Amino acid sequence: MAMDDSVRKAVLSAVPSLRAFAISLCGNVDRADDLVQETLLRALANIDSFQPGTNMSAWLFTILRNHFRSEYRKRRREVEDTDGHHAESLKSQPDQYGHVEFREFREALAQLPSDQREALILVGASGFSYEEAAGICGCAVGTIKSRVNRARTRLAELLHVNSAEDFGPDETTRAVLASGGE
Amino acid sequence: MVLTQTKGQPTPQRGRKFGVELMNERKPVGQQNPMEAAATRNKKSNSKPAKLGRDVQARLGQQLRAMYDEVVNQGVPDRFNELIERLKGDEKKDGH
Repeated sequence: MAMDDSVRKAVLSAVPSLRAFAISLCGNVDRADDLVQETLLRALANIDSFQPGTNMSAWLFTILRNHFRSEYRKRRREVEDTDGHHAESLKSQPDQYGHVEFREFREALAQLPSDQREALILVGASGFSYEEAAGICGCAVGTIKSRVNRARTRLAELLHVNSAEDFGPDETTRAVLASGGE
Repeated sequence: MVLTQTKGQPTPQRGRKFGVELMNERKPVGQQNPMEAAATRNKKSNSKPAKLGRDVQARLGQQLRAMYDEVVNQGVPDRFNELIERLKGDEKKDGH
């Protein structure tokens, strides 16, 4: 049976977001694209394990994440400080990511523990529900929630957004922060 | 490989709806926090996991999505369209 057109469309429509997720995981566009390609090959080779009617995007994210994790573990044995390595690779190629305005943000993001970073991205950027994110990461919903919260708190610390000036001239933000004391 | 029935509706165009879904997704987080956040604000930041104000969270969320969407907006690079086309061709050859 030929690959269903609707399946192909669903897979392709997930690619842009898969790439964004992959870049956030590995911090390198070329590696991310390879990761996406490997994910698509795996997904299509195992398309019968996809349950029609369920979320294709979440299914693909799960495959990508698992694949990355197993690779990551492998590499971890070779490179000791993987998170630090990730942060470095982000710093060394800001142009690949486009605008410099996101640079500081990316660097902060890169400093998060990987489980917190992925939880934050899945919920805060990819648009998955906590339940879906938990399914993708193979953990409890509560775990995702606490990872997301910790990620946000840490990100705010890293970006110094707890002091109003650093967050830009936003009066509302300033007021909220001012009422928060130090 | 043998492909089983895949006629069922795959989730349609999830990518398109990010903006909308995000608003929905972020709501519970924002709503869950006001009381706790207020409580924390009044307390004084003694312990480290200080709750973030909603506006701070919103700004972080905006930046996160802007960064993410920058990639999403690049669409599907040719290599992936070509990959899918190639796989389609392979399947025909295999006679599945």
